[in-house]
Amino acid sequence: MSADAIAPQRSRSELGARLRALNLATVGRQVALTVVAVGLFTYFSIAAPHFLSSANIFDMARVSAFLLIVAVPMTYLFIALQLDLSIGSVYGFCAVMMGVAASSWHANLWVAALVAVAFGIAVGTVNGFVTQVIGVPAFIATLAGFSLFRGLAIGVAGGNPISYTDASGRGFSSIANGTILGGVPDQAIWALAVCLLGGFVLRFTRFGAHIFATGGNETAAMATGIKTRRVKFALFVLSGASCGLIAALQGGWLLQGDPSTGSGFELQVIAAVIVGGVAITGGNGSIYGTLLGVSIIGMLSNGLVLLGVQANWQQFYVGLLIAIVAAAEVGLNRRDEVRRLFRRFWRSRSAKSHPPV
Amino acid sequence: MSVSSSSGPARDPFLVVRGLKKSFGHVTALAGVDFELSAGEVVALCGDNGAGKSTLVSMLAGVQEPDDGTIEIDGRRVFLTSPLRAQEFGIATVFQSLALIEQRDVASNMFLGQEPVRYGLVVDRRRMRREATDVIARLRVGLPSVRTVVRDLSGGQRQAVAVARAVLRGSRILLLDEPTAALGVRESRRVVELIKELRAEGQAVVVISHNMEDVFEVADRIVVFRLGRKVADESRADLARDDLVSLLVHGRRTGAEA
Repeated sequence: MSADAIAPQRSRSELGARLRALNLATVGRQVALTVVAVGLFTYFSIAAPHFLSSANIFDMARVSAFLLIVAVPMTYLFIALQLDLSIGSVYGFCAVMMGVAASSWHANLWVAALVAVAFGIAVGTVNGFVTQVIGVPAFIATLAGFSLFRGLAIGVAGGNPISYTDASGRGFSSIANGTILGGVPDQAIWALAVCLLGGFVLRFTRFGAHIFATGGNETAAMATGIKTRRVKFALFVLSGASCGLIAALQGGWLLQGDPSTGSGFELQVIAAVIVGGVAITGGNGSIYGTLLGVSIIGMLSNGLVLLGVQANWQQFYVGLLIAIVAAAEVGLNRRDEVRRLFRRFWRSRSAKSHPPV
Repeated sequence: MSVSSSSGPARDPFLVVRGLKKSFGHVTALAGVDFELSAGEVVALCGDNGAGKSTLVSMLAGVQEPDDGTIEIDGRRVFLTSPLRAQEFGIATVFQSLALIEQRDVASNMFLGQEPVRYGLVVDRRRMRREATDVIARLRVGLPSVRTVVRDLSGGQRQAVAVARAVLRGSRILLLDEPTAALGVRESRRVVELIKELRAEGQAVVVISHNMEDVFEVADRIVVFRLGRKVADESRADLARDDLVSLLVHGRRTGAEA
C-alpha cells in the first residue's frame, strides 16, 4: 500500500468541511431553543394582553435577572460535571449577613454589599475545599450546604427579617434598584453584564477551554497538565460569589435581609440551565443556551399569568417543559440510534405491505 | 524506502536504559532490563501479557517509577516522575485510551492544556487551527477538517489525532501502546503508514504490538520480553517470523529444524 492512501481528502471543499464540523448536537440544540423562545414570545405577544408592553417586559427582565446571574456559574459547573445545590441557601445567608452588617454593625450600605459578596466568596471557597480538596462528591457536599447555610441564615437572623435603611444617602440603592435608559431595571443591566462576561470567558479564554475539558474527559485533561481540581474549585467560588452579588442587589432593593430568601431558588436555576441545553453528561453547553433557558422559563411564568392560567398550574407547565427538553436532548445525543430505530420500524412496515414474492 | 531495513544494533542511541527493575509486591514485572533508542528508529516491543513491555513503557512515560536502574537521555541521567516531566524530556505517549475530549474539535484536542493565547487572554483559535492543519497535512493523515468534533471521527482517525498531538508538542520519542488493537484492517494500515511517515522525519518510535504483521512491516528493531526479562533484541532482518513466535512462547529460538 502506498502512502497516497492516507493523503488528505483535498477534493472536499472547506465550506463542506466546516458544515460537517458543526457539532449538530450543540448547534441543533441552540437553533431549536431559539425557535422555541421566539415562538413563545410571538405567541404571548399576540395571545396575552399587555405582554408586549415595555412595563411588562422590564418586569420580566427584573424577575429573571437574579436567576440569570447565578445560572452563569451553574452552567460552568454543569459543563464541568459538577453541581451546586447550596445556592438558594447561600443567597439567603448572604442576604442576612448584609442585614447584620447594615443594622448591627452600622455599616454603610456599600460596605454591607461588599460584606454580602465576601460571604458568598467565603462559602464558595468552603464548597470548593470540601468537594475538591477533601473530595466529597458535589451533590452530597452542596446538599449539606443547602441545609447548613439556610440554618445559619435563620439562626443568625433569629428567624425574622432584618430591616435596615440606606444611611449613605446617595447610596448603593441607586445602582441596585434604579432604572436607566428609560426604564431598564438596574438588575437587568447587572445580569446582562454577568452574562456577556460569562459567555466571553467560556467561549474565548483558556479557563473556558479547561472547563469543557474537565467535564468532557477529566483523565485526559489531567494527562495534558490541566489542573482540573483547581478549575472546579474556582467554579464553586464563582458560584458562591454570584449568590453574594444577587444578595447585595436584593438588599439594595428591599433594604431587608430575610432568612427565607432564595427558598427553592436552586431548583429554578438548575431548571433554567437544563432547559438551556447544557449536557447533563458534561463537556457541553453554552451561556447563550442558558440565557434562552432563563428567558423561556421567565416568559412562560409571566405569559401564563397574563393568559389567565391559574397560578396553581404554572409549576406543572414548567415541569412539563423540562421533561420535554430533557427527552429531546437524549434524543439528540442518541440520534444515530434513534434514526436506526425509525428505519427498522419503517422497513418492517414496508415489508408487511409489500411481502417478498 | 530510503531507510535501511537492517540498521543493526543502534548506532547513536540518545536514550539509554540500564538495569531497570520493577516489582509489584511479590511479582517481578521487570528484572533488570537494558534498552537503547536512536533517532529515526522504530522499535517494536513484543511479549506475552505480563512479560514486562508495558511496564517498561509506563516507566519511560513517567507513569511509574523504577525500583532500580537508570534512564539517560543525551548522556544525562533523568528522573521521569510524571507524564509532564517525561514530556519535558521529549517523551510523548499515546495510551490506548488516547486521552481525547470527544465533545471538542480536533484543534482543541491537539492543543489541550497548552492553548496559545493572544493579548494574554483570548485563546488564539486561528493559530491552533493553522498549526494543527500543518501537522496533520505533514503526517498525511486523512482528516476532513481540524474543526471536526472528535466524536464524529473513526477509531483510526482518533489514533491519528492523538499521534499528531504528540508530534505537535515536539516529542523526540513517541511511545505507542497497542495503536492498532482497537482498529479494523484498513484503519490499522493507516496507523502503520503514519509510523513510517514519522520515521522518515527522524522521530524515534517505540511500539507495543501483538500484531505480527504490523511488527514485521514497520519495525527496524524487535525487542522480545518474557517474564520480565529481555530475551531478544534484534534488527528485523535478523529475525525470522518463526523465531519470533518461538521467542514469545518459549523464550528461545527453535533453531533451523522448523
